[in-house]
Amino acid sequence: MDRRVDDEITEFVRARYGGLLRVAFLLCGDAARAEDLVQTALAKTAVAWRRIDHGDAVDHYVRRVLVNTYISAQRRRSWWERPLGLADDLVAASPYEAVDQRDALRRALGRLPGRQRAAVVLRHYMDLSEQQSAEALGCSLGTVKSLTSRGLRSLRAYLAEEDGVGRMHERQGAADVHR
Amino acid sequence: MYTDEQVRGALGDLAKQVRPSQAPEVAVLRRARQRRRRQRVAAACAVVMVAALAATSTTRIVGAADGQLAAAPPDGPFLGWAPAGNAVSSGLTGTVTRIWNAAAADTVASAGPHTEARTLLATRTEPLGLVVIAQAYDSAGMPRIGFFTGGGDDGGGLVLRADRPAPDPATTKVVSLVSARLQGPIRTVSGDYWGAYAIVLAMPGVTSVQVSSTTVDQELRDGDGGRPGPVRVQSLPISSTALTTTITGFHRKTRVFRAAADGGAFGDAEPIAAQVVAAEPESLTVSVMDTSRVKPGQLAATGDGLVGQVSAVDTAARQVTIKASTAVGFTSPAYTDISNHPGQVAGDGTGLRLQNLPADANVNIGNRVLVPDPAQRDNRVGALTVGRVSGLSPVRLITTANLTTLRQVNIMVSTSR
Repeated sequence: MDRRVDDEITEFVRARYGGLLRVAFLLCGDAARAEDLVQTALAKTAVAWRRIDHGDAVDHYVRRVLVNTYISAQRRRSWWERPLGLADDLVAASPYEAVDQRDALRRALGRLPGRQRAAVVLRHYMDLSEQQSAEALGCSLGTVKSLTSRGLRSLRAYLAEEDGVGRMHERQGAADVHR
Repeated sequence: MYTDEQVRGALGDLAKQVRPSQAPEVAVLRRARQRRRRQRVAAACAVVMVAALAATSTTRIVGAADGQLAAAPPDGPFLGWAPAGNAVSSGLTGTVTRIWNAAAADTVASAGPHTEARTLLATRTEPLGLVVIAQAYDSAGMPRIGFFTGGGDDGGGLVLRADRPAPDPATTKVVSLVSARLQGPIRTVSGDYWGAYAIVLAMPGVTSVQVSSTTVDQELRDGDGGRPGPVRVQSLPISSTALTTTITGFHRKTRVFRAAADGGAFGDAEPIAAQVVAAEPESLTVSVMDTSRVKPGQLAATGDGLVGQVSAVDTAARQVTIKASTAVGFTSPAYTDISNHPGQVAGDGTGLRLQNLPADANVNIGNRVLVPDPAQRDNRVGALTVGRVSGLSPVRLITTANLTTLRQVNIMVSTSR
């Protein structure tokens, strides 16, 4: 890569890294894996830099690479690692309500299938249109609608479950104090 | 009930947690250079290969450089391999779908209804009856692969044995299932010594497949070379699992792949991979992504045999301490393979002893000694080789796993499925 291209890539990475890292974190739920995912997506983009029409096209390209890399990694991931359910014993103590809520959301997201999770993040965190989300996911508009709707429905159900478990732990905590 | 706005707000709040590292562009540029280098090497190899093929004007499908077969184009997210086996029939896919959905209704399998099913393998074998491998979407639209055995000619009576995400259609060269729970009702363990089976289907173009297991001695194997064709259903000792089984595929005499087998029939123990971060003579410290299912008493092993037993779990550091099988204080029930004499293995700081044997036990040098895996819920299934008898009076063992050069081990945990 020549100096000018390196400078362009450096500028692009500095400008977009934080935003992409947050999206990647919502996709994979782990800060270290999110760093790896973003760096992989940006490296792939850098390799294709000369072939991409610049402007918005770079953002579309890197978004699509990020989502594809995430979904491919999900597919390759051993099935042993599949989340099996709610880990009750990992629920944090009630004084840290904000932390609790973030943890609950992270666990709930972790239970969504990869494509549903990506659709929810693209539509409801990145605020992409259905058309833009379809381009990023490489699927039809109808599939995006279906993935988003199923993803949100499951997410709400999982969050409601998490609320139930949280309240149960609070009650147990209160009972322990009274004892 | 969370509204769209609340979900949006919560996602934003969660995303704020993560902080970018300093100067990320350095890592990105370094990775980009590595990718470019790899692409150039691959392109150069491709040019060399095309030139070689053109020069010889042959129609061989095996590439000259690395023994790679031309992959069949993927069928969307599924393997695009043509159905294989001697029992493929038109009505079979519908039958398999109904069985898969019924298993889903019993919350055993991935959520149904399963749609767009396609059969990868349907073959009739003597021990397992009809063996079917099928791919389908689950209710969430995720591609899955299912393994079925035990059916009659029309597919009736088939039982779903394993249900996993479909493998990557672009890179997969072989799909397999190794388990001792492939006969009778779901999760039932075979009663035979040779009661574990490997079901193997290799990519099109593979002319023979070889299944090897570290749980069986060379002289006990029924033949050595690969069998003709890309399909193989082979019996193995009941202690065999995916961890101890390797599959090799050939195109004529050229090796096309050598891969670890896959397991995961319902009821089987699951290996959790752990990286070794520190090794002492008496113990190992390993790093595990998720420690929530790791408990003291579980066994750690490699494909060659037992490494030790989990003695402590540090959830905060995601680290697990494993007491080596040769450590002073390590003890476990054990038995000799085939002759089945019960006893106890005990570490003595430098090696292992087999003690508490029955008075009439006939133990010989070279005998394999097995340790039951508590995660398997059966003493014989997936029993791990701890060592071989190297001396008598007292009976001493040499460990089969090399405990000094380990980089990764597997911790065996029970499954809920």
